[in-house]
Amino acid sequence: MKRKDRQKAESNFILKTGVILLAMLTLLAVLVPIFSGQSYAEQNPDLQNLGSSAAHLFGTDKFGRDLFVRVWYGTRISLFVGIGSMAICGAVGIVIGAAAGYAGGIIDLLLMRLGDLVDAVPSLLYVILITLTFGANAGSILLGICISGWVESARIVRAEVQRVKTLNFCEAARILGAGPIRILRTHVLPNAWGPVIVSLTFFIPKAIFTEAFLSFVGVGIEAPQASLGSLIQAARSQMRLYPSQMLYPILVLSLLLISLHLIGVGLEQKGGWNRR
Amino acid sequence: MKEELLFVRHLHVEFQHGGQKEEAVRDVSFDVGCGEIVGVVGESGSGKSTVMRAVLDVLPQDADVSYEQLWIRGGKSSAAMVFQDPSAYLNPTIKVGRQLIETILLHPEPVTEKATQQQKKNSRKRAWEHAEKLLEMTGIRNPEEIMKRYPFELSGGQQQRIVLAIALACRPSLLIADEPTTALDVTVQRQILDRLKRIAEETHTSVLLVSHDLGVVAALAKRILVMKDGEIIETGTAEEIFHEAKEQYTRELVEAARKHGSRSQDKHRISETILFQAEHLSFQYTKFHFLKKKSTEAVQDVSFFLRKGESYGLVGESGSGKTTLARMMTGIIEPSAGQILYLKERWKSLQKGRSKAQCQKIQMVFQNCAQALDPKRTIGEALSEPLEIWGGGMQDVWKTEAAEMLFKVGLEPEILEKYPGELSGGQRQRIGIARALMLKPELLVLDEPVSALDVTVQEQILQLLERLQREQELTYFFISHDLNVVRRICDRIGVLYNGRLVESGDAEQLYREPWHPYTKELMLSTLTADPKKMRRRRNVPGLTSGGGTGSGEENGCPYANRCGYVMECCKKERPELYRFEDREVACFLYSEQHSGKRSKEYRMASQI
Repeated sequence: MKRKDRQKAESNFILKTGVILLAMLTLLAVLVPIFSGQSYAEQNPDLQNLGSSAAHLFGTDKFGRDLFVRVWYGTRISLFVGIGSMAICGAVGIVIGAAAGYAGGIIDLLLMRLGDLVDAVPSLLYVILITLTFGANAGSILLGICISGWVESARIVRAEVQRVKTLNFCEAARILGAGPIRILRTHVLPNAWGPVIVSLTFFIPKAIFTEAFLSFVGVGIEAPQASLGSLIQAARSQMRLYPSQMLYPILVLSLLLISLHLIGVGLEQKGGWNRR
Repeated sequence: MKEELLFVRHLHVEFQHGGQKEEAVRDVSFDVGCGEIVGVVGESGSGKSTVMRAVLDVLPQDADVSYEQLWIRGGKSSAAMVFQDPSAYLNPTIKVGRQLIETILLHPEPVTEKATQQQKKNSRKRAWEHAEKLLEMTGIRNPEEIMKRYPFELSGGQQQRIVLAIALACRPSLLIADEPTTALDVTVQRQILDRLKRIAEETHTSVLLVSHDLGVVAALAKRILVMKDGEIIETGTAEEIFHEAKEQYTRELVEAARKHGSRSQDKHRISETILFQAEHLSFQYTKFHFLKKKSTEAVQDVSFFLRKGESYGLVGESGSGKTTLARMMTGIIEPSAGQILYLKERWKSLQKGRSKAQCQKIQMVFQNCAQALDPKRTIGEALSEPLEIWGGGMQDVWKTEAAEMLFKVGLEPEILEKYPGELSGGQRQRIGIARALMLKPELLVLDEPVSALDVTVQEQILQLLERLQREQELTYFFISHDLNVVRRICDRIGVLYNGRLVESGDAEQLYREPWHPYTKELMLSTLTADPKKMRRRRNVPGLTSGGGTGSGEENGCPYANRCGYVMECCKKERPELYRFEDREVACFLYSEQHSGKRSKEYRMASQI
């Protein structure tokens, strides 16, 4: 028990750190662009490449835009893409996975092979294609990620549903006359949550990274909008002269990914997602 | 004076749960002599296993062990242990032969002066030979072949024999067997226990046999320790414990175990109406294997009927298709052939549209009571679920009905707010029964409802079932691998072997005079909590087989290669079910070819 207790305390600590970190980053990302009074897009030739000061905490870029605002604006987009795609993929994945896992047979076969087909194409390709057709903005990146993102969560949900549905209490409910939707809702899904939630938590940093990467390469968010990826890309040309311009977005991106990972690991170690 | 092998004085074990201390073993003192078989009995949670682990020093780190004296002659390495679950003990990725040989190589023979370099080189080969010898000793007939297999390719009985062989490879002077046969079928259990006894006698090994089952202990032990709440409350020879126990608790234990085997005096009303009929039920599992269809028949052509108010018992070993049959009755799975009639009306499976009103009539109680209740829902929610599904009344009505039902099964209403994880096994099983009764069914299918419970708790549940039957005129279809339990509660018994009903008839007659050889094997394997009777019992012809799977020739009688009365025709044809009044038996011994043409007045008797 000693070891278990220690492990529990450890996972609680990890989870808490992650949640606090994420909450801070989210607050800044939401509040800074609203209350700072400076625009993320407005250029000012007088203020080019300034260092950190009280007026510009992270300094300014080569067009004289305030980096503090731009970094948090970018974080906002990252969070939007990450959490948004998680929500959509989670919802679609749970519905499809639950249907496939519970029904079994031909329905299972069709749904899962469809998933395999969609998943066989690299997801970057979807994103690039969609940004080309619908324009480069957060919405199309999100859509692109979601096209194949649901497959993984559907697989996990399916496996969990298959496991839980054979347990005796599900059979008992069937004998009592419960229909499939009722059994899924009240018995199967509550007992299948644990792994699903963990995998969805890990999905967010992946999506955030995809967005940052695409923006870095130049197919993501379009100027003058700011994304952490495009900020890093913009700072690259003068990395030697003004390294801080690159440092700040990288730091924030890393913190964001680390906080989400900590939450994922904490949940995973806690084991399950028990109500008790 | 006997020589002591294990000597324990004033042993205490405490566990720590996050700052809280819990005493698991309190002031335990005992000893084991050389070559002695000592039994340790007690209910689950009485600290039996903790004592054994303390002796071997394999307790988890958070246990505080203190004692005045604890020694084993020859040190800890001269003791070996056999666990309850052999599949958890064997490494599934390594062939059993290698696992056995590793152990042999780790415990080399005491080196004689003659041992030369040459001999050492051959150690692996000699270890292999030694392994074969050990396996033969544990009753495996074809050790060479078995050693090349992986654990999952073996049956539970074979696995336990391997574990026993591995334990013997340590050349122990003390063998600790912790519930060695609890997970096994009765027939296999009997074989393993017989082996254990022979090995102990031949190799002069002492055995500490831990079990919750008094029958197991009665079969082997000369001396018995009774444990309760972490203390040894009584010690004595087997005869003393079973016939003139001093402690009240011991007497209760023995009483419960005895009652277990005796027929209950309870009278319930059986009407002549036939409530339920199964006609030629079969079920096939189909697997797709590289474009090849492979089907296994779990249940084949089983027919029986249940009268209203009657208890019908179904016995058979694991894998004989008992649960599959129950699942067909409740409509969870669709029979691949045959039909189910309820009051002469044909019923479909749940999938094919069994109506709600029909669902309500047949309910089921599951074996694994931990799995039968949703861990995420309170007992109150679980009990009101049937009412919720049926949509009758309001939430507070459900609650009062649930509380009433709890009272009927002998539980306090406080339990309504609890989660299944907070309850004991017996309480959970009562909840399982209560949930099945919420819809006021007529037929209750009970799938091994007591086999996971302690004897005293078993007794309480059986009494509860009897009382409920009397009060509500229920019909029971009672599945068990334990003949004693079935005999206690049932009016008629059916014996299932390999998916076929081999014998059925009146419970008392069938028990007193089994007709089918398999039924006889089952009877003889059943352990009684009486050391005198157990000693008188002779070996059974069929019982010498070394854990064969027993599936016969494709066309022959499935029991043919385990049967002690096997004839030429048994291997070629399958016997049909011969009927004599209300007795049915599927064996050629009762065919006309074998026993000759009979006159009408001829009364068939057991041929074995």
